[in-house]
Amino acid sequence: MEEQYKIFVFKSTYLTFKAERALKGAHVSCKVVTKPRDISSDCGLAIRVGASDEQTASKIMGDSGITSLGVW
Amino acid sequence: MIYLDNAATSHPKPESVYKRIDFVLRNASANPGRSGHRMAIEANRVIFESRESVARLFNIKRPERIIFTCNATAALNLALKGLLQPGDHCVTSDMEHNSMVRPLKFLSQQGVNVHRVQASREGSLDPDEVSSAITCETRLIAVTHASNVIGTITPIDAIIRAAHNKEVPVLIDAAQTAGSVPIDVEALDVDMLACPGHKGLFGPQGTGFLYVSPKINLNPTVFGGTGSRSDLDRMPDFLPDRYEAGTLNTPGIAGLGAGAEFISSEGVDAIRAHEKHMLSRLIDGLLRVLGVRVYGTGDIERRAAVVSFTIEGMDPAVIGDRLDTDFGIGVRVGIHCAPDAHKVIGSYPKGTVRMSPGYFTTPEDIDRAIEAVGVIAADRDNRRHVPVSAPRPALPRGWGE
Repeated sequence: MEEQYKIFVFKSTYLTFKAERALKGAHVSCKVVTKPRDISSDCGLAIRVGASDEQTASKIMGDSGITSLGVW
Repeated sequence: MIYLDNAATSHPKPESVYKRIDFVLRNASANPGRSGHRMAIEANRVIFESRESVARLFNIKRPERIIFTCNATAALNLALKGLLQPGDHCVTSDMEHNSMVRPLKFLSQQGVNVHRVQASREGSLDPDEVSSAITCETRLIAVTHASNVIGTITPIDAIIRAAHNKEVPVLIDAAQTAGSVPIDVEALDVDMLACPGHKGLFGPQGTGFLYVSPKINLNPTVFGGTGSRSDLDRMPDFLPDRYEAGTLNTPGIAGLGAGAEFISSEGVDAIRAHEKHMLSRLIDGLLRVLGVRVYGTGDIERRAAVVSFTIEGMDPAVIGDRLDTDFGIGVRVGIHCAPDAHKVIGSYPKGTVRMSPGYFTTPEDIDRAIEAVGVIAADRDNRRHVPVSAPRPALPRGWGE
């Protein structure tokens, strides 16, 4: 069965890596990926987590003061 | 070679800096912020980690407000040209480096009114005089943290307090202090801090940064690609991207990050203590040489690791040449890009010989430098112009001779 992912998009690359550090620090598996074109025409990056980790990831980022632009 | 030119660029660098640059240049030097392949992402991560390391060193709570530049000059240009508009008033001092003087001169030609507060002959700036110079049009106070000519440390804490009492922000040029004199951005409530990466921070040349507090909104001065909001024909409105157009110096910034981590590990206080020790030894020794005049304050607590001196009746250029040629000692001579400071201390136009020890300078280096100055001064007194018999230190392979 194909694994489901969620993509967190941030305003800046700086925030993307700040989020990556916060998630890895909390042992949440994540990966920095290119923003999918259907989310943004921007040539920036995003964070991909397993769909089951979406809520956990949102909480960790919130606790770290990191605001995402949205989740897809 | 005995390197006493750390005020121009520090040398050597910590081993970790060489290793980090080498590693990044070989393994992570794709374009940060553009492509999404693994090496580009790693380059991004390098930039991110370096920004965090610099932020930790200066106690900066918002690392994204650190703008990487190619040197302190570029940082000062961004701060000054990004903020000041025709009709604005700016207070500065007559101890500034040309990196501050020249952009301010350019801006004065565009209609910015620049007021220079006079320093004492020791290079000290009186916070009350700075405060008195503030008018209702004053948009910025822009001062050096320490003179690059005589090392006198500016009381920035008192100046920032006085300026903030009148709701005027302060730009600090930390070219001679970053990494070797403690700077706590949060405690001092610094508005803007311009730093070179290649001096006290131990990074390579081609690096530097400007910290911009959340209270300050600058106009960008360089426009171009950032890898973010590429759909827009204007610069993004978020930092650091707003001020970081064009490809960053990834390996250089990696080295700067390693330098900042080295300093955090050693402790700025330990670095400052070592430099003060070298400074005392150097000044004491130079003052014992007949005919030598040392400029600036005798209070080591108020001096960064910079010593300017002259030998009566001798051209500083001749002294510098002999130090290099006969003794293998690297110094800087002349007016050090700060003509007004030399007018203040009375050494214009010939300037001075500047010796600037660093964290890796040893007491033996200082003693040999003092001895060499003694020989040069004695040669002048004896009217002897013969080569000294002191053994010439070997240069590294591939250097000269």
